[in-house]
Amino acid sequence: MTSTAMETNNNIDRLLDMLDHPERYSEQEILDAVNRGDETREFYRRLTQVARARRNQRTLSQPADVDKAWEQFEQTHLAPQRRERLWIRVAATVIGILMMSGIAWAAVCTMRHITTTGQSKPKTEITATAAIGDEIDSLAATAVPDTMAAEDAVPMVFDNTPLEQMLGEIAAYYGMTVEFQNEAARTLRFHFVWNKGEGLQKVLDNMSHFESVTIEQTGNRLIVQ
Amino acid sequence: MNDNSILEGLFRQHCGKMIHLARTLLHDDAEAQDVVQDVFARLLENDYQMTGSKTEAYLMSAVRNGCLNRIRNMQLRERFKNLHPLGEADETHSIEELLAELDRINAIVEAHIEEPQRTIFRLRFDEELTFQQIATRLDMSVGTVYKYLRQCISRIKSFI
Repeated sequence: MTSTAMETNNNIDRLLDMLDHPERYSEQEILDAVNRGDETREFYRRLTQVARARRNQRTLSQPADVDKAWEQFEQTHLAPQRRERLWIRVAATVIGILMMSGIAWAAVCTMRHITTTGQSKPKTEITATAAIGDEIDSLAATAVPDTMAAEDAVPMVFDNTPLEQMLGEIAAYYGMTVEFQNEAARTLRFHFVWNKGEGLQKVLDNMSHFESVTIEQTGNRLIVQ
Repeated sequence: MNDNSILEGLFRQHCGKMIHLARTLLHDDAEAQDVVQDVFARLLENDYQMTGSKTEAYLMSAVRNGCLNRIRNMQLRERFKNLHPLGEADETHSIEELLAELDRINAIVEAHIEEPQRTIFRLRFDEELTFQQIATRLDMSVGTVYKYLRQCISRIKSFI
């Protein structure tokens, strides 16, 4: 063996010794040992390849537990999302209850208004209705003119209602007709709060959030695409 | 927001291969799992639409990049101890090339490494014993273990 080969072997052996005891060497000493020459650099590169190759081989016989991995992912990343959604649902329910209370209050006020016509101040009663509604939907409250009928001041809630039925009522109120170019849309069901006090354009804007359908006004027709 | 069932489908379809790659590149199984979970967490955060034939390539590249980032963030001593690359020169191959090369090395070991080098090789890389532990187990000097390992690496190199 030539002295150069012996020196290379010694350098590689030093590298291998460092692998057993890296804590005994500084980072600079480790780098110097790896980069001492082309042979040591190449030897270390081969070691890293071989280590990877064997890890690759080993993991073939230990396939990942996909169910467990997904469970972990769900717990870490999707459960917080679900909790957020739950809060949104709770908030929506509370708003719904408040809204229904508003409707009930409006009904009471309307009844009082009917039974006390000519004796009290109807404008004040309706304003009170609007004030309660204001907590829920400021648009509904502010859009109600004093002279509007009480029933028009109360938002109508369509709950999981077929579009054909919902749009029929809305169109009739505004003196429009409905044309379904998209026949399948007739039976699509939506949740929608209709504030009659709002203009048709605003109502159509609100409905533009519906997925799968587009509703456009052309003259006195509402066209569903 | 993506429907989570789409994400679950993607996860179940690809996570096995992704974890396999991450385990190959990293030394730690838990870290490998974390890298894969991070890839899907980013998809979830960014509402990323994944369709088409490049999905797997994208996911695998994301895993490799995640692993390389983790390796880069390790102390040099830890990288060295776990036989990770110390620089970035080796990481220019595609993932397919990288995996093909590893398969080739494993095939060479199977076909061309004989005893006693084979035992040394297996104890060091499969059982992950230190050279000192190998020497003790086989009742030989550490110098002899080094010599057999040098011969091993040299033989593998001669077939690549």
